[in-house]
Amino acid sequence: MKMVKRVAMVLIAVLVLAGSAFAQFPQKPLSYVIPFNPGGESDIFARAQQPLLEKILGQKVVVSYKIGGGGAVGWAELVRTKPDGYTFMGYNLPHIILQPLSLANAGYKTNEIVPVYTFMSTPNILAVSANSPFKTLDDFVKFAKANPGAVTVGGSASASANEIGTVLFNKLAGIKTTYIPFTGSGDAIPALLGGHVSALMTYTTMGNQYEGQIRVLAVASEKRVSSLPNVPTFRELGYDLVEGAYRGAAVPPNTPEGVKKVLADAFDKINKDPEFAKKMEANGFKLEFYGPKESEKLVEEKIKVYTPLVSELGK
Amino acid sequence: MTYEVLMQSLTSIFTVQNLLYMIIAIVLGIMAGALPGFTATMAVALMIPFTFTMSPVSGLITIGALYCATIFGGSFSAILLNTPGTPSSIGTTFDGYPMAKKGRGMEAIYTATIGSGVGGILGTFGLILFAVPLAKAALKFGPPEFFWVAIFGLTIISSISEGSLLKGITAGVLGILVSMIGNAPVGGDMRFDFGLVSLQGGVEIVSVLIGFFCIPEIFRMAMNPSSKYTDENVVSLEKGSLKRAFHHVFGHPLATLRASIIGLFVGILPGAGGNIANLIAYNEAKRASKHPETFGTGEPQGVVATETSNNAVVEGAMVPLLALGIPGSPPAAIIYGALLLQGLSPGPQLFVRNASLVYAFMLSFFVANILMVIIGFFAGKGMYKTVIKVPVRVLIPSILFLTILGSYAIRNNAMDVIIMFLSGIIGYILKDLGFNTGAFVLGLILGPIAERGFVQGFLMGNMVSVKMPWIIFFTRPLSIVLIVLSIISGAWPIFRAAMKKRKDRSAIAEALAFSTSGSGTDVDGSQKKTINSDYIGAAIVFGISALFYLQIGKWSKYAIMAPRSILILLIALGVALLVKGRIKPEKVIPSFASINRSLVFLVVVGLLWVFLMEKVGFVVTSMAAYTAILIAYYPGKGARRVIESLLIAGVIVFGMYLLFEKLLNVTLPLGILI
Repeated sequence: MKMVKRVAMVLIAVLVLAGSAFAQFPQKPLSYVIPFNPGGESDIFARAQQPLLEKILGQKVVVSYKIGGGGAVGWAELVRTKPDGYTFMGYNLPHIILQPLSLANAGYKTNEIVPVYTFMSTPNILAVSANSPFKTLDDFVKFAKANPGAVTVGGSASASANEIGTVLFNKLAGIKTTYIPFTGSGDAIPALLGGHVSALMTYTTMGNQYEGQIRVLAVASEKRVSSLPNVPTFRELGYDLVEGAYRGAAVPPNTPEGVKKVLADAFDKINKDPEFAKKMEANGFKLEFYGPKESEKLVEEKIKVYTPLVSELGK
Repeated sequence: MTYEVLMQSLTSIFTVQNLLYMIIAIVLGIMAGALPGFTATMAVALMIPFTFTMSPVSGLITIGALYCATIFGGSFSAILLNTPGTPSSIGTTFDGYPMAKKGRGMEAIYTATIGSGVGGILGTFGLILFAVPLAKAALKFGPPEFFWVAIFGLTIISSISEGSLLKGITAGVLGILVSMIGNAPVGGDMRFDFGLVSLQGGVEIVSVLIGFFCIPEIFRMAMNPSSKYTDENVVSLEKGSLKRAFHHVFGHPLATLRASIIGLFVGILPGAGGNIANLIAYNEAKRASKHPETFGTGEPQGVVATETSNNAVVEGAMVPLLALGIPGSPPAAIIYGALLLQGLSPGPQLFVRNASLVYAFMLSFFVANILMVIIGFFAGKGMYKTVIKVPVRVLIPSILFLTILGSYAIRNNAMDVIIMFLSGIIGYILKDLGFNTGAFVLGLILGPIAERGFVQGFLMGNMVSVKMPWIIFFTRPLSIVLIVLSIISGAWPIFRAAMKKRKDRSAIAEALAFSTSGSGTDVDGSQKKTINSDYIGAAIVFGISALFYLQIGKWSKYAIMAPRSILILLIALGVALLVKGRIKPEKVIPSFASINRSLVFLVVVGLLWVFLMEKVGFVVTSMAAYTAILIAYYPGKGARRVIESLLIAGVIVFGMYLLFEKLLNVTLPLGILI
């Protein structure tokens, strides 16, 4: 009996200690790395999260950048970083799926990027400039049918959600358009406003920021987005196109579950902060609430969708 | 702008708090700019979190002041160390450093300071008066125009490499080839990464800049560590430098105005910035000058042109940002993000909804530029005095340390440091062989812009003709203007050289390709063995072409388009070099003839330093290398040299470690030790 009591006490002590060890994470400043240029969607979101993360985690959170290769340089480094949760990195879909599929040497595998939380998405939109003759999606499709290849669609980067969206839409509508990749969502805008491309396949965020200068023909989300209430979805118009970029935070493989949970809970809490949510939604970001398990499932689902499309990109 | 809005804006700028913020931002900006490798983008990104606690007006004003000051600060290291502190000061090294070597460093710094302030103020006028129409005009530039802008920029090669045009072009094309390492702009294929993940992000321009411009200077110092920094008596030349500086800027008002306008316009174009503007302004100043031959030997007008233009770029970049909500430069992109988070959406609506804020921001550039000049006088003098007071033997490891720190900090990538040092060695050799390193850098900067414009323009051409998409490059009015400008700019130096040698029958042929530079030839060539630099150049060109050719894989159609053309061009240039080497060889004295033990020591220590840093640890390797160089170059023997060396190295290495790791949040590679 005495023996059992003692064992039980030791066990409890161990559990409490172990528990508090996790509860104590983080004990030093954390590094939140963005594998893209400052000023982009990932950066803007991270900048808004940073003060709240510091408040919740009780530690300094430093946003830094590891730029290059459309995110590949950063992710290749993430998988080789110490898996202690003190360094976490922004992760993006479809990037982390398409890069290992299409590059000979991406430097990482999709399953090595371990998501802790997926906090937002930006659905694709098809937009034209305010003075474009295309008033509706129907106008656009009709013209593209009559002039195969002559309609140009700009977007952010190659092998991106924008290019995938364009390829899928071409298939659904039975048209042939020419996709032109730009270095980022922001870089594509002047091309549209200057009349150098016919349309843009870009993100919802752009729809809000350039309100009045561009006209959004359709949004590739399941339901209409709150920031663009008057824009119909592709589904409403008869094209089953739901596509966009998802963004979250990821850690290296073998990061302890407890540590992942602390980070996931922090991101979850931030997303549920009404003031934060209001500000980000007004900028066209769609908040998502995928925890570690749900995020992994999301990645698996997307792998199935994207794999057959890889051979059609860059055509 | 109504009177009320103006007054409201002005009163919101002139608060004690705002002026204090600006002064702090300017001091920090100058320091950041002067540190090689620390760019305006990084400085602005670091400052953003602090502005969240400020009101929107104060936040914007602070960031604006910081941006101006960082670009300006880059001139200090360009003048004093031959290292552009930011890519916006590349051209400043051409004449600023020769001025400093001649003991006119103070004058060069004052000239840069006044020039920067004037450029900034003229740029602000442009911003306030013409923001909206200018932004609209900039939209007319599409991919085909960007291609031609890049070509126009590349024609500068013909002006900076008048000595040997063929070698200049070859260097430029090599630069373009190197710029293709990493992600293809269209197609996204990974190109020329040589199996290294760390090369996937491409070659960082700033690392190459530091390597090309600064490392050869360190090598030169290392040949004779007990030499003096300046060639001539400094004290006598310092007198009246401020007066002369004023004269350089205000005595040629048209030149100053021209450089400002170039800066403003290039700044407005999204995707083009100070790195291009300063070179175009330099080129135009040289072309307009009555004595172009003085450029490159310490001509103050060269410094005026580059520094005036790059500070006008800052305001230019604000034009599309404020008028259309399009960020025209990387720092502007960060400001854009900050505006969004403040709940302000940049663009035409901002002028309506937050007019006083927008005007306060624009007007604050006047105040910032004036404060910048005042602070710049003191900061510049201080930095100049420090650099000339420190003995060369201490400068050598200190500058090397800064170049390592800077090239790492730019992307937190240890590979960039290795590339920096290796390009230093390569730059040293190339320069010896008569290849212009400035031309290489131009290729590196403009290559991606040209390629992106070319491939995107080609795709865009489908709008005009699905069968002949390339025709788009020749049909648009703005493209035609740019083509004409490129032809004039490219042919002008050749034309001028031909006019000079009018009496000589073979003048044109000479100027076209076969003229040789006088440097290194025949002066005392009789005693030392010379080599045929053209043959060696051709060998290097063929070697590099083969190396890159073997890397070509199964790339998509649009990813292979440009690399293939460039490789073909490069091989043709190699053949041309062979022909030239046969007909009219340029003989040079090989550099290894003058290499001494002191330099070899530095190269070996430097190589160990950059290669071991990531694995062993930044602090340990830096401490070891720094101390070793100090001890080796110490005059005399005894325990004092060890103690003194350890002390200097310790203070500087740990000071920098604390500054970067703790204050600037740059995570240094600490390896297995620290």
